[in-house]
Amino acid sequence: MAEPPAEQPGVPDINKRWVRVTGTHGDFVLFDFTIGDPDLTVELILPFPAFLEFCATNHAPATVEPAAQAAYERLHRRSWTIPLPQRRPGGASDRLL
Amino acid sequence: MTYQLTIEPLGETIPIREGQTVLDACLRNGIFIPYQCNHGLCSTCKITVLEGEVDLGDASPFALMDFERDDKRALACCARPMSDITIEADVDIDPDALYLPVNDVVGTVVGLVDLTHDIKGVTLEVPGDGLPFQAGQYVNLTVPGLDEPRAFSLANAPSKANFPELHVRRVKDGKGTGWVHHDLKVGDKVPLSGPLGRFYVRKSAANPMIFIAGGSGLSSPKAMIEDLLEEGWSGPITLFHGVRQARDLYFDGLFRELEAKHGNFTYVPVLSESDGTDGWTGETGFVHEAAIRRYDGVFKGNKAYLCGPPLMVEASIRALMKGRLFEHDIYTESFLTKADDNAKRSPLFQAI
Amino acid sequence: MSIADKSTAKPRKLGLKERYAHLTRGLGWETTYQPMSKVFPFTDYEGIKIHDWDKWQDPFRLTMDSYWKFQAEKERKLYAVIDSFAQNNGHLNITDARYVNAIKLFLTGVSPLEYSAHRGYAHVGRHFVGAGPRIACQMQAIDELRHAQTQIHTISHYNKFFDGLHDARHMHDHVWYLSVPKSFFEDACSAGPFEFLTAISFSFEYVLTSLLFVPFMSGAAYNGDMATVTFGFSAQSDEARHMTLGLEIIKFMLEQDEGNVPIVQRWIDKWFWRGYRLLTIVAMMMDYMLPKRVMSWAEAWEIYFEQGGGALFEDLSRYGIRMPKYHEVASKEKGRLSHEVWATFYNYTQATAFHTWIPEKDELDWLSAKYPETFDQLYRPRFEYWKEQSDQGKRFYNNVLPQLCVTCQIPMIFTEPDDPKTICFRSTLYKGERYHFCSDGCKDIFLYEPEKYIQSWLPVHQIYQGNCGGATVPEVLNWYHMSLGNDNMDYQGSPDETLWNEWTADRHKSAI
Repeated sequence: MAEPPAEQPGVPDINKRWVRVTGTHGDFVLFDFTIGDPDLTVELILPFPAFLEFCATNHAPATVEPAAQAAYERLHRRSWTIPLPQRRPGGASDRLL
Repeated sequence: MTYQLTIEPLGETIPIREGQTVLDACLRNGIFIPYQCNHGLCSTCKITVLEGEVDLGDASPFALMDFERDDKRALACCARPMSDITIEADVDIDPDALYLPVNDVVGTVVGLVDLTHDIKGVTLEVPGDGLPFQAGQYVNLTVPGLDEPRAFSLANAPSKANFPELHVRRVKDGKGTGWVHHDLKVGDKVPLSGPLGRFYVRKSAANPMIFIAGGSGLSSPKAMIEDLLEEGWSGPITLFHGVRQARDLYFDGLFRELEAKHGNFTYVPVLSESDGTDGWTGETGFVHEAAIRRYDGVFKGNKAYLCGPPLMVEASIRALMKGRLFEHDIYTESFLTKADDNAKRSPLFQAI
Repeated sequence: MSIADKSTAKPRKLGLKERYAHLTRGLGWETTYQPMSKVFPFTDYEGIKIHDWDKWQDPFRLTMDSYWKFQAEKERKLYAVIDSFAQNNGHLNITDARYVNAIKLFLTGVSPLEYSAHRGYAHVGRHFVGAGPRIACQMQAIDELRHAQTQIHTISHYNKFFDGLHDARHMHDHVWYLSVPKSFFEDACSAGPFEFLTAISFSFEYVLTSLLFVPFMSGAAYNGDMATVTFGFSAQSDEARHMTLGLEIIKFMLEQDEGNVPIVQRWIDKWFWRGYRLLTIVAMMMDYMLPKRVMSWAEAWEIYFEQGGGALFEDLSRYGIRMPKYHEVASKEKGRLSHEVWATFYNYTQATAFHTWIPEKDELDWLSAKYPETFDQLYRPRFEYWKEQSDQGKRFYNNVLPQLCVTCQIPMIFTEPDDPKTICFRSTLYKGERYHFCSDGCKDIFLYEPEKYIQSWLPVHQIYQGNCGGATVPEVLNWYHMSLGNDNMDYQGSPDETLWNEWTADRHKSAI
């Protein structure tokens, strides 16, 4: 395999992806999906199992906004066999790295 | 260590402690910067740092982009001072706001009176500068045994800053109001924090004023009207006070007196449960219906101040809007109990 | 410290609001050597009365300078990502080549609307008297042009490998089913400036757009189409501004004059129904075209219209505005819309610029689960029958051109609101001619402005009149710029399928 190109300043790395859960709706998870750069963010919605599959496929670490935490955990308890994405680090930090 | 924080375009300078956020310092000093999440996620409180250095704190990269950081933008809820600073914020220049700092004081109970069968009047004494406020604002009162303070509007005219007056209606099973009704005694010391809130009279607009109060929501309008009449306001002022029965009216005598003395003041008490046997000859029905009758359904050109339970406030907003008075001229103070505020709202209205 | 003390200090800085007012000051001047009515000829005829243009609130107060800076930064990153996907053969990561048909529908049906929106906003941006709405419209005109561009650039990558994407602009202007989105937007653009904003900024961008973009983007992301997700970045981040314009125009009209209320209500009724009919293609995409499904159309309608829209109309009722007329019909149709439409495209696959198919068994099961009250009873037997016929070499094609609704231009395939087994059929006589409609909603719209809709360019009529290249399918397809057997017909046996199978076979081989 060829060497990956040296990272250019300011060019987003499309292999870096993040997910931030913003809410839930019934069995659906509402979340922001980011590729490479916070500017490149899109709001998405998926059923809970599809959401977990999506995070795994994209190797995207997930954080959960505090306001969505309780509802999100309820969804998770209902499908307890699937591992919960990483919680938001304690405190007010929303940094994903 | 304390620094100086200057807020443009107001030109106000306030103290800010090391480690205190810009938003907290502003709110503590009566300067309202729009904010929502209060922890660096939503970017509602975005400001520009014109002079000095701040620590940007935990502002989310989503809410504050890299190029914005380069452009000296910051989120007020996360930014902490590293020197004296000057910021520019998207604050509305409100000629009517006094931007009074929030003080923590201790008041001594000097008066306890039953205003009605379920509303207690509490008068406190605060020595020194007292508790300066703008008529319409409220205080937070610390209740023993409760984690969160309870909010009560100030009912005295601001000229009596040493004697804050609160009207407390007993809420069924309410811990805070139960304490006021059953446990509070003359001579007790009560910690207060205030003034708070953006409900005050817009004196810079010369429009006639309509006050609509429901139940113990009379406290703010009482302070506002006493303040206006004391300083000789000559424009028309109409107060509607809606209660259930005649026994729920209070300060009825005071307002009738003021009405006799000031030709520009009209007082309209309204009973929603008058059964015809109480000898009541005044207005009946819901308070907003009385307002519609008095104004023939046309409210355009007035400024309206609404204070009371959410249902009354909503019904009044609908009546006023039907009479062509809109968000820009309507000010509300709705007292919410814990159960309220679940209703889903769209972003169509911000202030009402 | 008091206010009085400060009045003697240095003059205070202007607030952002004041600075913006100074910046835009004089942009709304009163003309002197031509009457205002000649300079702004479209402001009065719709009946909307404006007394004070300065009451317009612009919460964003964006200047061109900061707009360029902000968008340039965003676009630079966006194109870097688009390039990366192209270089990394991003198309190989999609779930299945059937997915690309959703993209074909989007590129031919929706992306040209972004361009139409650009033209529409540029036009009305010229015709408002107030500087506030003029600037908001001009900014949005640029946004829409950017959206059209990024979508075309993104999807162009798929055009290197798959059929049906080669001439979206031409198809949008010629192909029968694409006259639905095309005529929707032309209806809006040929209305006055206030109706245009009610139609596009409010009814579409505010009330209905979540139904298009969120499920579509979620479908793209879940099916591995990161290229399409990238243009979602661009579109969604401008959305806050667009939605605000939609709310602001409605508030502004409603507050300026009481007489505006019934006019606005009629427009909301009309454009709700027009927009809802347009979203039929989204319903079909969600339920039938995504190899991995996000949510059903019925679920999306409940979340985004019945609940989300409910809160909005509760607030609007303070102005005396009620829910859009026939919203209850849309709710009654939610269990059948997508099935009726996919069946129609299956019937006419010979004339579509994308491939069709009968859903696989697990897909039929998903539909049965999502539509427990309608699918097994009404639609599944039909799909299974067609599958059976097709397996016996008797694939069903409908060779009769369908009757179209004069208003929405969709074939008359919808069923009675209270009877899913009877085609809903409405008609009216106007100046001696009979006109047909798919619904009461579409008929009402026609009856209010018959002179406008009798001019409709109805594809079926045009084909029969000989205006579409000829009288045979190959001639019409030629006129559509469609290649028979490549761009159209079933996915099974298509060049797309052959190519995809080769790629996946290669991948399996190299995996071993």
